[in-house]
Amino acid sequence: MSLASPERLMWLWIALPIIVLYILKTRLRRRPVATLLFWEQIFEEKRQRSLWQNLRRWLSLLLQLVFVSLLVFALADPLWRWQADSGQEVILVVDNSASMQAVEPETGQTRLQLAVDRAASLARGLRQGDQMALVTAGTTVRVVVGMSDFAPAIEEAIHSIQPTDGPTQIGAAIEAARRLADKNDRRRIVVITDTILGVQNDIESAEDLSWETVGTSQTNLAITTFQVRRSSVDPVGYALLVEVRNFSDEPASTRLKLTLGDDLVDVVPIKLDADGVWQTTIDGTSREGGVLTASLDATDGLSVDNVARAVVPARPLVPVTLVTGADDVSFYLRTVLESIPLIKLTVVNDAEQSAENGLTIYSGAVPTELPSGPALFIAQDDGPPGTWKLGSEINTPIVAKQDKESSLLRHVQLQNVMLAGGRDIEVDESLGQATTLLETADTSRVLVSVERESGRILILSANLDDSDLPLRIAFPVMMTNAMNWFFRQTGDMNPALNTGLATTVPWDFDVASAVLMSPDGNVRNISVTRDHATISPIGKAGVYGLFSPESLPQTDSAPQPEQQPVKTPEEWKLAEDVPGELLAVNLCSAEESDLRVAQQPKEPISLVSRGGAPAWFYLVMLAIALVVGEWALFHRRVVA
Amino acid sequence: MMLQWTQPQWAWLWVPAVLSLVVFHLRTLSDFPPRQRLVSLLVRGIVLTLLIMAVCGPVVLRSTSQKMIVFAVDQSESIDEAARETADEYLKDAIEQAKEDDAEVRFLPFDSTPRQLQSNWTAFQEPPAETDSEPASVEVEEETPADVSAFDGVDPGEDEIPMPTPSPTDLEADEAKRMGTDLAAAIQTAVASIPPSRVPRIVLMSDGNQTNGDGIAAATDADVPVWTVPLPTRSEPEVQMAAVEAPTQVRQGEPFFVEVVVSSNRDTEGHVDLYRGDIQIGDVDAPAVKIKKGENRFRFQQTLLGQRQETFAARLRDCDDTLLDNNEAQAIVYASGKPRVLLIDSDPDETDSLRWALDEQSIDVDVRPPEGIPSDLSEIQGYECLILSNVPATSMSMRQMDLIGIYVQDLGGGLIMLGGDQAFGLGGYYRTQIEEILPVRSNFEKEREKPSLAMMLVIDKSGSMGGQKIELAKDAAQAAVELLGPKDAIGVIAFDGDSYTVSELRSTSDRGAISDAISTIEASGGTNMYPAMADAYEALLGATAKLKHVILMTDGVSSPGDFQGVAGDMSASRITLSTVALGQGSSEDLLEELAQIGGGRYYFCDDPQSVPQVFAKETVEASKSAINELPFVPQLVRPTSVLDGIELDLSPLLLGYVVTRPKPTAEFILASESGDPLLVWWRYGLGMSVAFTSDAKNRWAGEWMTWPDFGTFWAQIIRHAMRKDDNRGVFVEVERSGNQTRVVMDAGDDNGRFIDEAETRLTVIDPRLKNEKIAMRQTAPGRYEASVETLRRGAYHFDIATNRMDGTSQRSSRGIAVGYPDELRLLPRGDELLRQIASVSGGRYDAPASSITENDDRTARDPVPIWPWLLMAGLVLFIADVAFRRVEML
Repeated sequence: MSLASPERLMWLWIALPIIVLYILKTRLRRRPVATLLFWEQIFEEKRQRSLWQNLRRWLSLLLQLVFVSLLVFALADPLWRWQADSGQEVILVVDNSASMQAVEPETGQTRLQLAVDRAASLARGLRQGDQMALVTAGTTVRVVVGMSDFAPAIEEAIHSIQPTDGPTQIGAAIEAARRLADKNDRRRIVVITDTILGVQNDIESAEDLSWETVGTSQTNLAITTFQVRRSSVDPVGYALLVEVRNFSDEPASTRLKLTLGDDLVDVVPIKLDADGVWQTTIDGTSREGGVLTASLDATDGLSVDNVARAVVPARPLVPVTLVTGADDVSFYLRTVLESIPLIKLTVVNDAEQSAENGLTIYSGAVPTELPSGPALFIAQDDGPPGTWKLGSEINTPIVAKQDKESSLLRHVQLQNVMLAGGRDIEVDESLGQATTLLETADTSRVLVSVERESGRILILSANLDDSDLPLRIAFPVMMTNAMNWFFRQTGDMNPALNTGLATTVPWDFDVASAVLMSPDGNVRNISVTRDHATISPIGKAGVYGLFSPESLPQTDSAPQPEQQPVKTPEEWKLAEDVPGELLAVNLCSAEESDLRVAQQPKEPISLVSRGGAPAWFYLVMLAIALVVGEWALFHRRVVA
Repeated sequence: MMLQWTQPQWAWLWVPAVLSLVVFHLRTLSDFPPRQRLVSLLVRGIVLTLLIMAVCGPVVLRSTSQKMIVFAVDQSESIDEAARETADEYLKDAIEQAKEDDAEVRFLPFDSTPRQLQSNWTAFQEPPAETDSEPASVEVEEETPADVSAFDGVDPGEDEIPMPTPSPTDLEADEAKRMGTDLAAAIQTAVASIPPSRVPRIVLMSDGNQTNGDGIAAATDADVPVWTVPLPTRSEPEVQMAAVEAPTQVRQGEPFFVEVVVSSNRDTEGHVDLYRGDIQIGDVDAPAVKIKKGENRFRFQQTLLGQRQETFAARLRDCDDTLLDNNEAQAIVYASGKPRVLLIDSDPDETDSLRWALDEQSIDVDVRPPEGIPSDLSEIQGYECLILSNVPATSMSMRQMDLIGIYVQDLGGGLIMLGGDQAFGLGGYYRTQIEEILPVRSNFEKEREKPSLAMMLVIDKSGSMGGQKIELAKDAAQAAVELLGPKDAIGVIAFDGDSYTVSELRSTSDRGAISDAISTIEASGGTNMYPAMADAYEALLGATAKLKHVILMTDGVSSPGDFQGVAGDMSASRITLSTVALGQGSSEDLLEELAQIGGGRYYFCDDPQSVPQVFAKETVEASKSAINELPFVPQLVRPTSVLDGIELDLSPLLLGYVVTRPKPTAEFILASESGDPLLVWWRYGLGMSVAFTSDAKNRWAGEWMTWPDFGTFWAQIIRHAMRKDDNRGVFVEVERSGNQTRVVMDAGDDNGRFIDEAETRLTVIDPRLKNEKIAMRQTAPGRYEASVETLRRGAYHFDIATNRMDGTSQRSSRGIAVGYPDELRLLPRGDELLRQIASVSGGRYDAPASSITENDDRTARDPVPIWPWLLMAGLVLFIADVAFRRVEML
């Protein structure tokens, strides 16, 4: 045993005045009496007792000295051997993942509250010489407080733990905890969670690991997948994949309400078996897009998984310029084009005009030079030099062969159709890679697509006014296919993210940095590298905005007046033309939504392993007992 | 100042203690005046209260600005000597500054994991392997590109880090740890090592190139200002091929860009060569390009026409460069298109008619000689079906056979073997991996009317044959015994300096005894071939068999003797002699000459592994029983839809076939007139294998080639066997980030609608050719995803099998090439990352060492226990207490 503060042994000098006080004779009280006769008689009788009288004094002194030495020894703070070299390093791992938000029906407390209470009681039980750190394991692993031997600070940190909507990261947290304390024999990791050891995290039970489960099994309905993308068939359509699961041993029924922005899209009644999964795809149409929200009509243990959101990307109007010949109105073509959604049609009759960022359609007109963007030619003449040449007229231009695999001819059946004005198209090799889509019986190519770097080209050699092609249902379908083919809009999506996952999202804006705005209006910087923004794990579900920082007023630098309500990312996006995208973030985790807790044999964990209180504590306790005891002895005159 | 009680539970002690003081005070026998007694009680009460307060653990929280600074110092591989010096200098200044301003400091070295926290900086620990050793270890890699390398498995969390040696030493483990930088783990550990009683500050010293973890997220969560100090990156001249970026999948004919990313740490010049497969793109003598400091991108426009899969590799040459191993990278691009078939034929000129017939049926055929058998998986993956037409097993290495096995079993490829004098048993396929895949066996019941064979095996057992060689030779001899018919006879002679008869020439009906005798051979001694040859000759001379054959195998140079004479004698007595030279040191010329004289064949085996195939081939060939060259009309055994529309009744005669035996569960479709298999197939793993025991060229199928259904017959069989790699509507994206590769498949039907609720499975073949199957999860309409860990260097191959709701199924194959570990990448300093880490955590970027202790307005609360003060007060009061007893004052 060694002393932490041997210099305090100086306090032993305090025994000196006490001894001095004892050596000093007690001043006898003067009391006048009539005679000493009886006194002397009794004095003789009690002589043998005077020895005891002397002894009583010395015993009293001894007790005082023992008391003083106990306290002084305590002051010197002697250390037990275990205290000196083997204090424990306890790491509390508290799960604050989404499932910890589940409310216990009996107590009305969330699992996290239970876990916090439990952790706090463990922190209170921290022994002298032990150290404790706190790590949370929801969404990301976070060291809340480093190794400390001061229990109140740890307790305070424990009470500051906030719930997250992310998945549990117990495995990573334990790994981090092991890194925090590198001495295996002194390390103790206490995990407080609602998952079972080894079940979800492949964690092997180890010497240094204590596992404490909080919460009781509950039933829960959850949206476990929610993702929307634009349809690859319908330009304004979208397809939605939704999966609802019943985490219960009983069948359940509920309703799924879908809203796009403020409009109700659908209400779907759902019946689920015990442990049932309901998955479906739902199609809808909307050009503007927006935030699609699904909510389950259920009151269950966990509410965060009853709502999921996804962003339907807006479909911009595509500028299409129809260039007609001077005296040609191209009535059919124009009517068909006007009927195709998403097209902003401009009709001109100047062959040198072309659409900016859009498609140019030449009907009966040929420019002197090919436009730089994509172009569709209803060709009746040779193209500009070095592009294509038309062959001689064909007697019966009946389509004999069509490319079945091309997306341009999807749902289109043109075999045996007379294509009036059809002539063989011979594409110059320098233009690009040409594919023949329609061929007549005499192997004349009448519909040819060309891949070139600056934009695709489609050439149809036909006279639409004479041919019966425009009257067929195939024609508008072919034109719609062509629009999709030109702009490659096949099923683009703005994927809804899951909480707790690091991810990259495309960043198409010409700005080198981006900010992520959370649903409550807070912004944080995001790094952007080559068209991609890297987003670190998000801990709260909701609709976020990924914006260009310049487009937002300087909210982060200048403190905002409080009366001004915070705008959500959705409002930013809708109200102003902010360059950026909305990002929906959902929990969508079957593991988190399953609130059933398998019963695990519970062994109460306590941190008392070796020793207990420090030596000074026991010494002071002894001194307390002594000081009370001595008081009693003195007053009963056992000691003087 | 704030007072807190750590053990308030002991406060109850006060009540009974004070109560007992009062009780005894009231029942006192003391004769002090009551007022003195009362004062005494008061003093004793205060002493007692002070003691009990001390027991309750009072702590005063003192607000302090005492700092603790943890320096997290990057020690990973990318930190070179110059960077270490920079770090040391910075630390020296910082430590001085800290001492001046009375701040506590700690040091946390880290790489892929944080190391031990130190209180004193002991300068950099010398890395166990200096930079010189890097190129050396890489050379090892280049020799065995698909093998496990020392750089593999850089994952701090994985206990089972794959290591090249079975018992990795600590040094190697350390080396592996240095192959990574985990800023997040370093920040977390640093945060945890600062007690709450200090104002925390972390100084992160790194080049900012993290290979795992998310430093920004960790810094955001840390709640501690992280100051970042950038360390310089490599300073030796270094140019590096950072990546070849190409789309995973393109359409046929669609132009796309292959982007070659070259990183350099200085302005220099060099050549960037891009190879497409084995062919260099562009001008070989193109002038050198300028390479700027930092990242350079070169774009090459490409289109794929006809190919299914193409590997683009880029190489750097003639640059001012230190490390040469990181000058190459590759990418695999996939294009959908017509099915492609690889036809390997020992005589490529004879394949024209089959090739034309298949061309007509819209099947692309590549014809190669046996030397062109693919030796890596990426190459073979470009084909849907592999046809081995009369290719002997001896022309393939074990590895090539394994690749074909994986290609069929795990990647769903098709394998067709056509007959000929080098196919099946005659090609030495007995007991090989290929025979395992094929639906027929090459050992068969030898027919009674076939001529009997007497064979002598003459095996070198000299000392140089020790180890694996002699074991393989014994295996080969035993296999030869198994392949012979009951009327045949075999004898075995082993030789070193002398000749030993291991087993007399006797009937193979006693197979067990012969086999046992063979297994007793042990390698030792010199090499003298002559006595053994003479013994073999004598043994066969007396035999009654119609055919007599000797197989002579040696790996060395024999003591002189009249070998030509014995061979000539053998030849005169109608005994044939085949010779096998094992390895480069053997007397190849002599053995070749002997085989010529003896009327047999000569083999050269560079790899002892192929000895069993040579023996098997020789045995079957010598017994002249495996070929049946009687014209026959194929007999339909089992009708199948595969042969719909083909009028087999009208098929012309086939002139011969190789005799085989069908495996029990194989589908036996066509037979010869004597009932032997002609066309047999079965499913093997995910793929299919077909055996056609006759051929498709002039030797046996001369008449068939004029048959109008010839092309259709083969097209239908090939279409049946090949991988149904139908990618219409399927788009697969493979992206790798760090150790994870994400495979995303978008699936649509012919009409463009998304395919939902399909069951999709992903088979992954890693560079060690181990496979793993993972279920893909539907994450969006028409989208399926899976994540795979890709830790190893080399090519990974993916096979996605989709079973749709309507019962149809689809397969897609993709690949990805994983290059050297990220830690070895020459990246520009990650200033942006370091700046962001500083900004999100409220720290500073690149602050001078002198400002390291700069104050901010944060304070920490330092808990000061006050129990000693209470005890001291108690002691002082106690003197007064005693004094009141001893002195009557009032």
